[in-house]
Amino acid sequence: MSYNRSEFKQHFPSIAAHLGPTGIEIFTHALVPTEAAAGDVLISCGARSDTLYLIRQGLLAISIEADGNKLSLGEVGGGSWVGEITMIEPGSATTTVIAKQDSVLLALSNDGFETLRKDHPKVASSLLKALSLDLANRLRSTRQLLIKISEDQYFVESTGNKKEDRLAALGRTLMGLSRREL
Amino acid sequence: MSVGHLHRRLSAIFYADVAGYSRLTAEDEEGTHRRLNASLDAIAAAIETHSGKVLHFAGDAVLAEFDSVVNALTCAVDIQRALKAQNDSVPDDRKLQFRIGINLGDVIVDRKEIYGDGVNVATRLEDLAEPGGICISRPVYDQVKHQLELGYEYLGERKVKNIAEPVRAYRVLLESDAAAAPKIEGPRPRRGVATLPQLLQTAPMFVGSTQPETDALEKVMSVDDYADGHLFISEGEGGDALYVIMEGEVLISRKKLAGVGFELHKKIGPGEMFGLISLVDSGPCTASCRAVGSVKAASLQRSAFNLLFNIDASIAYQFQYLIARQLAHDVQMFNQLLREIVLSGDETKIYELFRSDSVG
Repeated sequence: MSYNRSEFKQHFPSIAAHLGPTGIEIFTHALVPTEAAAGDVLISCGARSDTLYLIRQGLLAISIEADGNKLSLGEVGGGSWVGEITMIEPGSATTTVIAKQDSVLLALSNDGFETLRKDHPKVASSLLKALSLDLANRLRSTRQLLIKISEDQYFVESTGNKKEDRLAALGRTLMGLSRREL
Repeated sequence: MSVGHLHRRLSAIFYADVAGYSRLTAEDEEGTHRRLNASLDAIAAAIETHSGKVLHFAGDAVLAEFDSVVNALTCAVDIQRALKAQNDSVPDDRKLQFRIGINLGDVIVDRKEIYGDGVNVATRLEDLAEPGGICISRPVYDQVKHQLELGYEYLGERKVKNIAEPVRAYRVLLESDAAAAPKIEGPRPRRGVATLPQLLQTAPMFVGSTQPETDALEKVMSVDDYADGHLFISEGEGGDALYVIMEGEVLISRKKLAGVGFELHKKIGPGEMFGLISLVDSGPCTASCRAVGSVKAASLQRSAFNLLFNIDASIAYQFQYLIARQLAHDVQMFNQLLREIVLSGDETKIYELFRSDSVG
């Protein structure tokens, strides 16, 4: 499925802003179009993962799972992405991502990224810059939320101070869901 | 003494104090005090033996004066050798080690004390000495270099607090040092302290970088000395540079959290860095970073980093990758702990997030 530059800019403005016109052209060529049916598991908590998925259309659900215990964090749709952590540094995934609707995705594996780094280092770096900015913001918000939780003010006021709510809020902030969800 | 007629004389000024005295006291107050007393007695006796005069003791410090720089340095060497022998059987963390600074200067003499820049420089030289070591100024070096069979290592021009001109400092090489290094004159990096290129090649975050990459990086980084207590980054304020420590220690701290009783308090040293996120954006920093003792560090300003990036320098891409990897690692670590909390139901682990968090 071809993906033109203006469509990419419209869907992923924060990444497009760093890539520039030529960078977008190169980057979209490196992406592999992928379809996921509702219920498909894209990333499984604890299993090896190495692929970034940009969501062109559809809806994905993110959760943290451990031995049957599950903490739902939320859902993300078109214009968002998941899996960037393990694309940068392949390893065990720490979240589970399941397609909630039939979805159209654009995938970039770590191998694909390494090729991009080798052939177009500036484009690869610009992508990393965009992803880093997002990660830095998420980390900062998570740390600030931790401080709020420790001061025990935020949750008493807003959610009645339930443990699950606190954890879910941390996970959502960490995944950037408070800003990117639908 | 009436105004306009101050009594002055040229003196060899000797200043010594204990490295890490507060830490030693915090660990063992009485034992440290007993050992300090014994050491100060021995130092006073040595000063007298070498025809010097103790002017005063101030806590763990001694200020003394000699008529001869040769006598002052011989005395300092004797003291350090004697204390080293005593310390040999003591565990490292309990060693009481003195640093000694010696300067030759024109001083004001009043009420049996000496005053002036000459004294200040001696105390700053003492700061530059290593525990168990001696540091001297250029005027002292000029007098002793042909008189005493010791090795000297030039430390370069050092800016010192409240002194307008930089001070040219020399480290005196004692026994084992002297055997390992011949007498050295002229600028040479201080031994035990990596130069910036060495650091860039060996620090964990730069492993895998090529020579041209580290060369390019070195060109845009600036190496500076920072005084004890210097605040590199202030919690809650925007940062604008990455720092790599070359020498000394930096304390990373966060405000105490209400209701938790936990305060992040971590020291980092040579080869370690802080302020990474500052290269990505200018949002508020989540911790304060302060120099503990004097610190030498290389800094990379965000503007210089962006410049590198825009001129298409491959090191900038390598750096961008390191930044992304560090951030990815931090998010991964947070996620992993959240997962453990979900599994164990033990919410107190939330605060582990603070403990193991690397400070960007």
